[in-house]
Amino acid sequence: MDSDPIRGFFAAFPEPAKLLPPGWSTSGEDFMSRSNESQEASSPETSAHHALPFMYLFSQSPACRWRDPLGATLVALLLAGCSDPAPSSAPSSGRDGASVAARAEFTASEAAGSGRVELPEIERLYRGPTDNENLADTLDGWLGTIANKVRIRDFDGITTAFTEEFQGERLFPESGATVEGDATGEEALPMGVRSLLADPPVEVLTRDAFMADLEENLSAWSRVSQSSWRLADVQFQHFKLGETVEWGIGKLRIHIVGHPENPSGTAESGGTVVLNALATALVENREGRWVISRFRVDERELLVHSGSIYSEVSRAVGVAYDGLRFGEPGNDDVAWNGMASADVDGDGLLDVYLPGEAQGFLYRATGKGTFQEEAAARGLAATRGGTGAVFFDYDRDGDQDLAVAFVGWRELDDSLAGRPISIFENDGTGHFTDVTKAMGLWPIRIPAYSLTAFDADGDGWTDLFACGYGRMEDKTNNSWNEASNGASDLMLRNDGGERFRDVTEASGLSDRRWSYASAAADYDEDGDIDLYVGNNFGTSRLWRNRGDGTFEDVAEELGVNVQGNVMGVLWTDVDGDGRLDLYLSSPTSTSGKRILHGVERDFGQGAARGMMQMANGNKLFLGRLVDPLAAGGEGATEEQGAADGGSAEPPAKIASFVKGDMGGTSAGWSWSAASPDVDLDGHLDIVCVNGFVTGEITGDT
Amino acid sequence: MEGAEFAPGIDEHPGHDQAPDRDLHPWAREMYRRGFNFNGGERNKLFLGTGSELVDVSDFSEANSPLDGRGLVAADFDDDGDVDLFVHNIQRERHHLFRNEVNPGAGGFVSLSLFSEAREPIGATVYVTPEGAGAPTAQVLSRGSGYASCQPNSLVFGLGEAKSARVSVRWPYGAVEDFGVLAGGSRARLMEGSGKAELRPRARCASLADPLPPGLKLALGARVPVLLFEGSDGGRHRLDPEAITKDGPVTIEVWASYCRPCVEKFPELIRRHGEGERIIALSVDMPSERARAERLLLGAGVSFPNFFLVMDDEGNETGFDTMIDLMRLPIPTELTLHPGGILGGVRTGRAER
Repeated sequence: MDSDPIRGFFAAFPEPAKLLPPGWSTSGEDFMSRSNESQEASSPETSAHHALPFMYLFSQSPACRWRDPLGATLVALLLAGCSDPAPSSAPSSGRDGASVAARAEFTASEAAGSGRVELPEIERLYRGPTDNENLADTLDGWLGTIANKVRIRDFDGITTAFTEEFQGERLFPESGATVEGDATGEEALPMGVRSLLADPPVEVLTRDAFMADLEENLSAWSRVSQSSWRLADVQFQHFKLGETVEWGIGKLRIHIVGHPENPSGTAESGGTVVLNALATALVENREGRWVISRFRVDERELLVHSGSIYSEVSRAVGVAYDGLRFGEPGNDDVAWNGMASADVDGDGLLDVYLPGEAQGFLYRATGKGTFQEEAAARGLAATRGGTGAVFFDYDRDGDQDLAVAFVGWRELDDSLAGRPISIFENDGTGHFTDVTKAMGLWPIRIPAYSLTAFDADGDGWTDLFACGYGRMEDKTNNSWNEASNGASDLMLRNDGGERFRDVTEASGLSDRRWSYASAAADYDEDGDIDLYVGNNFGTSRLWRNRGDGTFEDVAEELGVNVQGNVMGVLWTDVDGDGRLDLYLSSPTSTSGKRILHGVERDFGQGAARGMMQMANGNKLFLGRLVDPLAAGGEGATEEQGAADGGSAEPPAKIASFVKGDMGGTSAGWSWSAASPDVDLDGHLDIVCVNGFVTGEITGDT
Repeated sequence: MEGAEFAPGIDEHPGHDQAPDRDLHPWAREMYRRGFNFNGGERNKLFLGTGSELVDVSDFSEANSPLDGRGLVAADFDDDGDVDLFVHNIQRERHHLFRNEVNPGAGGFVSLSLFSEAREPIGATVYVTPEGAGAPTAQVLSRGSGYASCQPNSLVFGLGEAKSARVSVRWPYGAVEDFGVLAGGSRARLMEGSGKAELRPRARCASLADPLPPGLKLALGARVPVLLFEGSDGGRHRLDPEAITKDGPVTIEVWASYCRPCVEKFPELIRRHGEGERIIALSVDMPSERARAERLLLGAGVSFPNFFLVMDDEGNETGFDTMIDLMRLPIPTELTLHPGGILGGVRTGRAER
């Protein structure tokens, strides 16, 4: 080995210049000048030969763990052969031996300088999009582990994400994570939420200073409820044989949510602070381990809310039920369960029924602000394994009966096993009797999910519609966007409360798309009740009631023929014009969008349009009525609300929909949605529940 | 069993222990078993409407659980005039009830239920026009919407700043019927053809019970499990809640060195300890942080005992996991153990007692 420790170290590497990102060289003098010049903004061209050579190379050696970013101590160590990771004049770690309060002082003293962090440019784009995505996927997964460390405030763990020669900019605004009072650039959002767009950072921080600043902000909270570090986009430098460092420039979308303590000492939230940041990072894969060496904060926004909108009271009111993680034996059936609410015992309080894998749950309100589970005692023990459920008064005796759907399964002899759609009659006191057989439903078996009850034919008796799906073990969907091999939907006519009769064919509702969800309303204001059916793997339907219980599909005509995957259907009026709007739950995918964005980047705009549509999430269609008699018969959209309190019948009109441009559709993989007025401001809101399967392992598959 | 005698070979759903596994592809089942995410960790969303846009305020809602919700009912379960949320998740904490904290009091809403002699008025559209508003807001009485979910016969309309609102209903297979003007805070039954809202008092019920801190898995009154702690020397200590409360209540203060409010609460705890309160501190710091935690205790002059959470990767039962989800628990939180080892009280933050 070369007697010169520095030269000897270089000898271990094939060709130093090839290992370095552009703008970096191997000159120690350059390092010194670079260290100083990082305070100034310079173009990539001018910085091309100003670099961090020794630090970059030696940081791959576990023996060298200095943390003095200013250069002098580092160079001294290098000249001494890097044999002693002795503490420098600065603290050797942002964490050692210092109290939380001391971190704040440390922050200011350790800034590397004013200005912005500079980043190298990609000179040789890495291979094809697939390889790029493979690397991106591992990087995205690694970012997830960093996000998790932020959430549990494992500051030592977070520190390892950044190289010793790290240069970065503050994540949080200088005013801190608990903004109080008015602030420049503040915008008021609903429910007292305040948005503060922070000015760009003005300092380049060392790793220690960056970490101290992060700790200063995060330690102010009583809990961190969310931390998400996602890769929005990335490009990698082409990796050549013999090189040991892979690197790229990534766009990171960072989202951190924290909560100050509640000054009253009670368990309601003491408020919420949200940091949204978009950062650009120099990411490197050093011997299989990702690290960040440069970190520039491009945009950041702080959102602050001092109160709480909801409090989770499940355990306090007696409805908590701790189940297994999905995927574990005992909870691995994709026959997802829904729920229903009604006053089942006539005491004026709302009770709740939830089907489940092993049992059904009937939570009866006690009147004391709590619930008691009484499914077995009230005749609903047999409802285990249900999917959709509705309360309705099928026999018109004034109480709320229960219908539960089941998916069942296909036996080896091709018979469909499991319960049929089942009816439980309420005796008026909240005790139920299974009348499925008596109501003629026992032989009618389809894999059913959502149920919708309504009087389809206007005879005064509430009928029942069931969404027919399929059983994957029976047959998989024969198309991803126009599957036609699901079980037929089912229209069950209520014959005077005596029997349900299958009138699917006669009503025109026979459809073998894979239906997940449905909702009924008089969208066209013609008096009868219409039905929207949301389908998976196919186009959804808007069934217009002809007034006699027969239906025609007008989805395409009215532009609501969504192709893709609809998991939930909701009629609402979010624009407050008195016309019914249609809100559809549908999946979206961060990873999917990133991949498709890459496809469009490589193959041209529009190349992935169709797939984008399916990954774009929820849909909102705003209802309009058109009066065919107006404007010379050509039709004109009526702006005025319909029911202004007058008793006159509206003139004959037809309905139309326009695509909603109000936001509120980017939610994840959405399922049920509802539209209460949460804040009672006179405008309806949207609540939707999301996610397919959350596992133990971080990262989107 | 009804099914057995009616249709041999077609049995009732036997429950999960006997349910077939063939509804999932083997690769999918293995993926879920091993705990992979598939659009996982996606939280419930709340978009607040302004009439012209829907603003995402999910992060502030405290109703944004990531546990893969499926069913959803939005209803006023305690009849206090605001709309609560009940969510059915597919795993872990399966049933989530979120209490609305708007608490409107005597005004600001109308709560309506619909009735008809002709039929159950499912699909009826209710229009409410707050005083001074240009157009009504419409809601539909539905039974089966969203995904596999059924909303009750109770529609709550917010009135904003208005003191009253005009109400009308488009009845299924019927007419649009005016029910006149209702004052804010009204709860009313609307019967088709009556033309008059029948006011009713608030249901005889208490408000939904106060929440427990996020992440606390025990309800008040529950027996606290035996807990395994570590001392500063790394030795294991068994804390029997029943035994230590024989002479009176004990406070367990859950804290961490990375939590500034926790550190700032020390003087209050020292004062209470000096007045005779029995206090045990439980640090949830990582092993690498313990030295720092002890320095903070020493520096503050804490005289009551401190233990550390056992980070047990060997599957030993520490008791803590069954009591608290550390990822969600706000700190500081103090748990008051009453005689018998019963959880008697919970407080969060630094608020003085």
